[in-house]
Amino acid sequence: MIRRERRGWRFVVGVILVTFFAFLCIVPLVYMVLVSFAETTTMYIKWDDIRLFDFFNYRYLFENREFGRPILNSLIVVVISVIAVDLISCTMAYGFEKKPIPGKKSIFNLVLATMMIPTQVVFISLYVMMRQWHLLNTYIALVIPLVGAFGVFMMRQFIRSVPNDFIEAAQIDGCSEIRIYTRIVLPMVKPARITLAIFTFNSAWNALLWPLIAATKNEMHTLTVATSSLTSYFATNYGPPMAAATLSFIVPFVLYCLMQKEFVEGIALGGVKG
Amino acid sequence: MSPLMRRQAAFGVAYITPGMLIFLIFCIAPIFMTLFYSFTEYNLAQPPEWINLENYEKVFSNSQLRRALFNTVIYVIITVPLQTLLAMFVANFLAEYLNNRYGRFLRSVIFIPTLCSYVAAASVWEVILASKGGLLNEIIGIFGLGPFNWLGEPTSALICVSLVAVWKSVGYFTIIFYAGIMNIDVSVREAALIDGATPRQRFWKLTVPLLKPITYLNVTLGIIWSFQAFDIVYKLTGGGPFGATSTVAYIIYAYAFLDFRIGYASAVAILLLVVILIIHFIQQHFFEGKED
Amino acid sequence: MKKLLALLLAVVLCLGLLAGCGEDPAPEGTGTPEGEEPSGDPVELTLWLPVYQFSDGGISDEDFWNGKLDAFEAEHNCVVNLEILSWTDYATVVYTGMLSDEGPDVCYVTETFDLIDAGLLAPLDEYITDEDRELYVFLDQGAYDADGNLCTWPMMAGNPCVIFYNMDMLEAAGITELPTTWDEFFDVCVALKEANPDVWPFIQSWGASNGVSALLASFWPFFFQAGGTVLDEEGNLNLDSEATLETLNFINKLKTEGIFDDSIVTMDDPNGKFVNGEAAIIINGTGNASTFTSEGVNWECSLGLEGSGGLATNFSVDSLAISNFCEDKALAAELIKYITSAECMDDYHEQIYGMPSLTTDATYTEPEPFQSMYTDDADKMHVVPSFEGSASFMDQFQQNVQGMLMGQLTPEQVIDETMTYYNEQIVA
Repeated sequence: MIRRERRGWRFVVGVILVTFFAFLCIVPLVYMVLVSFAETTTMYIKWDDIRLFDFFNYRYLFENREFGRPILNSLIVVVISVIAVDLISCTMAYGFEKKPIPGKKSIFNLVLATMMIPTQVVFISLYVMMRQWHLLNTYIALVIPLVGAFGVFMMRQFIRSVPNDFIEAAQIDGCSEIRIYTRIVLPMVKPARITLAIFTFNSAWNALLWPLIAATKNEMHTLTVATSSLTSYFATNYGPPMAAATLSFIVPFVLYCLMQKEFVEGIALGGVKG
Repeated sequence: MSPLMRRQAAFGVAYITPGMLIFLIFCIAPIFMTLFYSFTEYNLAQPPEWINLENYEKVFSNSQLRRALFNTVIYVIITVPLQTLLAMFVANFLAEYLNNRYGRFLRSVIFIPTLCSYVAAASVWEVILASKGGLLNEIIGIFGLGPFNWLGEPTSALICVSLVAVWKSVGYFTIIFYAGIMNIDVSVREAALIDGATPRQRFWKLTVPLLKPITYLNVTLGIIWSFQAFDIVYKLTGGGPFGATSTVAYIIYAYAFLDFRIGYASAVAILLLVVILIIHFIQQHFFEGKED
Repeated sequence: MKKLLALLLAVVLCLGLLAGCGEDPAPEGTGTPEGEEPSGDPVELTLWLPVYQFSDGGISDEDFWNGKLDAFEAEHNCVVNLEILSWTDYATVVYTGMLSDEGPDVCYVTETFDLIDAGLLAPLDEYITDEDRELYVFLDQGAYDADGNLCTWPMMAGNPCVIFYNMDMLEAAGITELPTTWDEFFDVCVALKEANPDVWPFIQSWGASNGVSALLASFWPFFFQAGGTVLDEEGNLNLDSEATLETLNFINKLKTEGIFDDSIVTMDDPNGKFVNGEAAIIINGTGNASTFTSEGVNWECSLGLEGSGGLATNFSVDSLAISNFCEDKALAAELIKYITSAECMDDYHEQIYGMPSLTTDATYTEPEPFQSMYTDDADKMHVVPSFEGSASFMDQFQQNVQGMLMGQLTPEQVIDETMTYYNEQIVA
């Protein structure tokens, strides 16, 4: 322990300020959950309108607005993209880091450079392409832009820490290439893969722009798109849109509560190492 | 190259080929396609028609776009320094002075807004910032202030949009800075302590310089992300009022996917790319080439 | 190494160009297979309609149409795949849908210019018989392509924007007679404001999510009352006019004199305000009247005000159209005729959304006072046509009016900036 020195008024003010800051971070979300239990007809929301644990707004979403489908869509997109990103990032990162490919530095830099490209530049032509190939309104289209250079970049940083001796020793022992990759390399970077899965989950679950463009049919809308198109119906009744927002928030939140350590450490690792 | 090496290289190519194909087709090819479209007129129904630099000529006389670019720059100027500094201060305080159970609890809480989508964030902030009956106006009403028309006045609308974005992303950066500070060698900090450095000196002379690589990364990411701000604008203000919150990314979306002027939107997108690259090079220079 | 990179880029570039140039143009839509004998696999038609059932209690659009379409499917040995669309970005969704053969065969369209301009709609003339021309009264109100062929078939013609007054509030302010001119209207607003400062005397939707819906009830009624016409004889946009200026001056006066407060620029739900008793006067489509009644508003209405161009207002004609990708256009035309026939529309108007009847044999009549408006004042209702870049134009116009309402632009500047933008950026 380093710290045990002065705990003067500065410290107290600091604690109060940071606590207040944390309070500000959380208040809007608490308010969101509260209003999702309210039936409001005017802009003035009264505390009496809030009937906690009466899920009528949620029932309304599922019964009248068929919210089951967008939730299912989002889940499917998340699952496919987490698997796809993991697969592609790990194999590419391993190839780039541990294999003597001629010209790999240039190729890797090319991949890396795509991180600088604004998504809009890619999305315009990607949309034209997907339309051409009749892939709009498919899960493939929704997943594809989630595969990005970031995963490759991050995984490469971690695979770098796998000692070459390990791999060489296994090669001398006559281990097959596939075995080395799946039994030695992948298990050693498991924490990083979990981190990447969390990142992918978050961006897939919360993505708006691409699903908005690529899913023109109602039945392919993801939860974010469904939530965003909801408000226009209910300008004065805040209940249903807040219930939808709460639904879209609750899944990552529960996951966060269960896997807090992985979330925080993962982002820290990704951020510090990256 | 030895046969063994050649064999390894072949494995390597096998590892990266599937991924590279996906990158080439879905990530790199579209960039060049967009570049191509930016010289055409294209409405998706008829084939693209080559019109040389006409789109770019129009782009430079577009008052709507000029305003959007201005708004985007203001947005970046508000969000990036604010979220970086705020995250750095909070992380520093939590790591240095509140390294206990309560501190970790606060850190967990500060991270929560990051989990929520911009759509959900904008939905709830829209209710909070409503001019009549919004939570914020109700609260400041207790102190006899307001009511203010937060989203209905050009300057405050842009500031509100920026602040909501800061609210949403500051937790992410706090976590990264926190980890960065914890990574600083304990002996270095103890040495500073024994030397009798004041907390302020320790922060500016020790922590900040040692965090420079992380700060560089955060600022870079922050700038790239902020320049592409779309979700929050789309949901919270729709670019209004009077175009006061429309950003370049929002304009590109509207041109390409509401008006289907693919060629023109491509020209604007390429312009955005150029702006980001220029700023990136300036910034790299500013950080004395501290890449990697 | 450099070579490899260069090669890579070259490959990518070629790929990009290939994808870009391999665009198949929309098919020319004249030669269609004549309606073949019903045999073998049933033909499939995809039908897109927007949601019109806005109350939560009634029969849903989907159930209503599926019930009606059974008879059609049985008669023509076909399958109709119905999809009910929400109004969010409706014109955009329709445009993207019509671009490919995966979209609808028959579709409800609102903004027609871009669709026709891009050659996506099939001309209908060859399917229209002389009897049809007598039976369907709004037929000539559809949209035409450059060659003068009818491309859209009116389905919802009506819903004029009329002025609704909350009579309880008017009486409380001592107003017994509805205003007939702009000046009288303004005086009524002032009186309402004095009687109850907490309530909006009159409300408009300048913060609507897009220009088309913002202008619909907030600008066009006044514009037509001021004697404006959207297009001149040659079909060019005619908004750089005295009527536009007069209208903007009046709207600006409402703001500067305090009838509107500052939140008018973000107001996107005037209907809710009127229903909740937070606003006394609203201009809106007649189709909203039943909601007002069921919410217990004591309302009266008038068609419009008398401006310098006399009494006028706008109404809308939304239509059905056949995609050029449709493989059996004759059958699609039959489907359109069936949907718009009295057999379907009488029930539709009763159960889903009230509108003037489309055919001479229909029995449905609009409730008073609207029915007599259609019979007596039909010549005072004007359509806002879809023109080149109309959606973008209206977005820009709405934004500049917001600027005016915030005191940053004068009405002259609004017109000037919008027209400059339109000419330099949209149609150039």
